[in-house]
Amino acid sequence: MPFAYAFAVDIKTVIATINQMQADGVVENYAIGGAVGATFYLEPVATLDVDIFVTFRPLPGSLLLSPGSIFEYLKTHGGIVEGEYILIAGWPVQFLPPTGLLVEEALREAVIKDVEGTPARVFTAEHLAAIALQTGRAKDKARLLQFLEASSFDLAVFQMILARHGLIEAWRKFEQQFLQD
Amino acid sequence: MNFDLPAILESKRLARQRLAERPIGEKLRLLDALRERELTLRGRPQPAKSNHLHEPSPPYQTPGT
Repeated sequence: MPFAYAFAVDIKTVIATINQMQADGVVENYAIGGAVGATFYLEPVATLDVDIFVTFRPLPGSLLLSPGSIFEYLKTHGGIVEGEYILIAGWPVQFLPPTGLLVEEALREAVIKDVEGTPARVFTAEHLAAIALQTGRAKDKARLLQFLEASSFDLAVFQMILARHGLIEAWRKFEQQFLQD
Repeated sequence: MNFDLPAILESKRLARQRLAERPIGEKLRLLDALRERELTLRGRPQPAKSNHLHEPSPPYQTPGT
């Protein structure tokens, strides 16, 4: 019943599937980012997809990195490929490689969160906020403002991340635009 | 009820904070419910032809690099 599996909306099943994929050696590591990652720290907001950042294993005998093995694995576990997404448990899931040093660091330093007995590897709040600042769309800026209000957010850690990744000027502009009366 | 805007904004902020502090399992079920609503409004994707929205992926790096 692959379609029923694919269409019963359950994000916890998505997380369990990714965990199993990692245990089976298809990916070295993963972390949840985007709006779903932010939900671990903020109030939930509607989102169209699940962003999973992964470190791919090179193909045997090749230096090329490919998501093909992920898609092949998930297709045999009830996933349905739709363009750049694969539908798992009713959610379009997108697998993304780290495209810069900030996201590479976020992947390395991601933390394990417990979702009712299911472990989920998630970017830290401070990395999610730094990525939002770097990405810089309107909804990313709104998300960054939410992080700054969150009680568990560590501003000092966030500012160290910004310094490491050349984002101090972007932060100064953000402060001028949104945080000064 | 009154129209004291600062009080209204503060009330909204506190409501959002309370929602953010709910257990993660509960918050993820809310995401599922929001996704279900979207599927109901837009129609469920068919295996051969998708109807779901495709949002362009963010660049996840500094613009211009």
